[in-house]
Amino acid sequence: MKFLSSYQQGFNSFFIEIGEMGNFMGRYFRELFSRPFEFREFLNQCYQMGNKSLLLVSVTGFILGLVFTLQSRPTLMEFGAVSWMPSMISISIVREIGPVMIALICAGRIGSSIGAELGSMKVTEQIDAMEVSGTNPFKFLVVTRVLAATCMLPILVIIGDFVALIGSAIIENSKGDVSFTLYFNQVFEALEFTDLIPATVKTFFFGFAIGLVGCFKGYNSKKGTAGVGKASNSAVVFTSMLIFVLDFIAVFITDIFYN
Amino acid sequence: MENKAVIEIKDLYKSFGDLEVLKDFNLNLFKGENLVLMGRSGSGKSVMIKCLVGLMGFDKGSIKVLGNDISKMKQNELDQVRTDIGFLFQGSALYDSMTVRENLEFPLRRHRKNSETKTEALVKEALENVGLPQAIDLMPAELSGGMQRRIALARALILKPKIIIYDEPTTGLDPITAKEIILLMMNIQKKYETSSLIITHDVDCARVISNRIILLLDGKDYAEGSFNDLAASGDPKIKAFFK
Amino acid sequence: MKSNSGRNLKLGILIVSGLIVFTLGVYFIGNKQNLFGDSILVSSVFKNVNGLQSGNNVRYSGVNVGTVKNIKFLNDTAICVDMLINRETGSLIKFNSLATINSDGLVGSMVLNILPPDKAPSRTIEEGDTLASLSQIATADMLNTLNKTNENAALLTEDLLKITNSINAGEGVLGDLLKDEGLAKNIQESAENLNRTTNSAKAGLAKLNGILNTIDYENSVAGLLLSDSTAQKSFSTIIEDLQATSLQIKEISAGLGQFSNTLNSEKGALNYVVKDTSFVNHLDQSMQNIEEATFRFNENMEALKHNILFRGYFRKQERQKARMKKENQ
Repeated sequence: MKFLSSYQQGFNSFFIEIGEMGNFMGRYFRELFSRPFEFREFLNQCYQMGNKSLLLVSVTGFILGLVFTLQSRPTLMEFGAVSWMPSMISISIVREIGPVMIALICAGRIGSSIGAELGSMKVTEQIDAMEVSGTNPFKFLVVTRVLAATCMLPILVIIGDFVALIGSAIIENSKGDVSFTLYFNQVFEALEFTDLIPATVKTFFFGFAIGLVGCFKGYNSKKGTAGVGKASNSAVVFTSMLIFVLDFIAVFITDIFYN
Repeated sequence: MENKAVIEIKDLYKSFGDLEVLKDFNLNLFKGENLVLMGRSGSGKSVMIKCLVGLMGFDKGSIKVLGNDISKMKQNELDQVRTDIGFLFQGSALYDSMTVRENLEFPLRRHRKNSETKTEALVKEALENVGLPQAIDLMPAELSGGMQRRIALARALILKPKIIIYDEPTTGLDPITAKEIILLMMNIQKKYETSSLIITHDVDCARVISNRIILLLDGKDYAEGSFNDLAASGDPKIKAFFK
Repeated sequence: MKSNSGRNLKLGILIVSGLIVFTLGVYFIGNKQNLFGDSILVSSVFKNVNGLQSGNNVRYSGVNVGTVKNIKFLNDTAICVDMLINRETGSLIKFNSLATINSDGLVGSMVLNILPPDKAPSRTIEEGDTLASLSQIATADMLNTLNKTNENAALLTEDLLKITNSINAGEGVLGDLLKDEGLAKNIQESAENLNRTTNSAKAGLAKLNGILNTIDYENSVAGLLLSDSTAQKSFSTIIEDLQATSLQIKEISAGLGQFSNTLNSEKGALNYVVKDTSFVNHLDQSMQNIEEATFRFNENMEALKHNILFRGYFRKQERQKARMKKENQ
């Protein structure tokens, strides 16, 4: 019975959290479209999320392209379809692996940092201090961060995809004697708008999810340093899960519209 | 001392579920005075000041700040009133992702349309007032507790507020630094003629700085008077504070 | 402030580079689909498009010149395929070119190929033109045919195996040929005999040649035939007569032909007789009537024989017949 009731409690608290997050999102949109807009902080957050994540995203993307190509080569060689490598790699990276992998990395890098930052601000009364000084902390902290994450993730994904394709092209060039021109020719031969556009659109949602969950967890963190750690950790876990759910929905919708 | 109240709290009632924190609490802060609010931990002091600045709602009663009933104000009106209130938090609450300069600029940029040079001058002036002009480009994490408290004071003063609320200003500081902070508070009061509401359980601090003391006990304004009056009281509950 | 502008600069660089990569991506993809260049819209109608999709390549002589824009049903058996063709290369494609749908390799996507015309080339294609289409076998059909060919090949090899086995076992003529040593000897002997005969024939021919060479053209009959000019004239007269006779025969046969034509035509009496079925029917009827009349007449005559009035006459006749018979004997 005890087990059952704790199970039920967990279930309830999950839905309560979803509901609270819904309210939080509603407030985000209300505050987003009301003046004033904290543009300086928005740019600052764009810098923090974009430029500071660029190296991580580029390195990960490069290795992703490299490893993916190396691992796929033997299988395609068995079928004598090694000339299909650029097409296969580009479609996989642009459509799915690039956006999801980079979003997951950003969930770790950006989501956790937002969760921890806002959590510690909450714990050390910085959010209260901001409010008392006549500044709307939701606007200053949440709106700017969520919007910055929404705007910067697509850019990071585009650059990450590009670097991954370069990594793949290097392997193809060194192992398969495929020139860069031929490689990218085949890449663009294989890619279509139906690959690029839905994949880019969904990254906006990934970015939004990363920013929103990070802010929600941080903004509502409980007192104490343990609360900050928990906020940061649960922001990453929840965002990662949400990214897969959103990806599924995106693929589902794309499938309906394009097939 | 003038008789015009800048803060009027009448019959303030606040509870968290079954737990009644404030029960018909009354307080008046008059212009230019230093009012010390003393009470035990958990007696509801922090809840009271959060209600006072609109960080927390309350169940009954009324709070007037500079003649404005804060429970009836819109968000932007409340924000405007808040610019007349300086708040020194117990843990300083400096924005740790910003430098000292950015911390001080933060309220200025939002509420005063000054030129860059004027902003710079005001920041420097505020830092000189607290004796830390050299810390301008440091991050809060690089400062000691006392320095952080001073910077926080400088930030609370930068908009030249009419009222300053100090939440445990000397807690966590060594006696010498605590004394420095008290002296600083007194200087500022003289210089800017602010009205101060000081929440503390530091008797030394209360003795030095207070014009009047209100004792908060069991959610009520249990006793009121000057330091000497209360210190001489025979009420054992009051006596317990001044031992 | 300095650090802020530095940050903004770096942020600006990041955003711009991201947008450039994205725009280039969009441009290159769009360019492959002929979205940005100047292009001509032409179409072709097929019975079966074999899974061709919008966006598939259009090739002319193996070079990508455009993409399939749209595929729509005109009716239950005709599918219209619209294609966008690069205007520059489009100016080289002739109107009487043929459009076909093929697979790009065995496992590749479908490609619309435009084949240059076999006939004399006409004008180049223009916006809105409809190219003639040619249905070609799809991979599946090709594989089916290949499968049948394989099956046939398997049957053939099986039969061949049987045949070779039989030959090896010495069965049949070929087996005898290969296995029977006596036959082989006979053949060898025959070949030798043939060789000998040929040699004799050769010698005979040489002898004949010699005889021909030694013919006396002036004194012998053959010589007269071959060398005498009068004889030659007689021969030519005979040949001329023969020619004239054959011409006459030709004329006669032409006359006969004409006669038979006339006979066949509906105007002549003979044709009436031969061709008119009603006439024939009448004739047949008349014949039947005559036959019946004769039968009745015979009956009447028989009745007359038994009549009292004519009985004496008929008896007299019979007696006279009997007498004549006796005299003859």
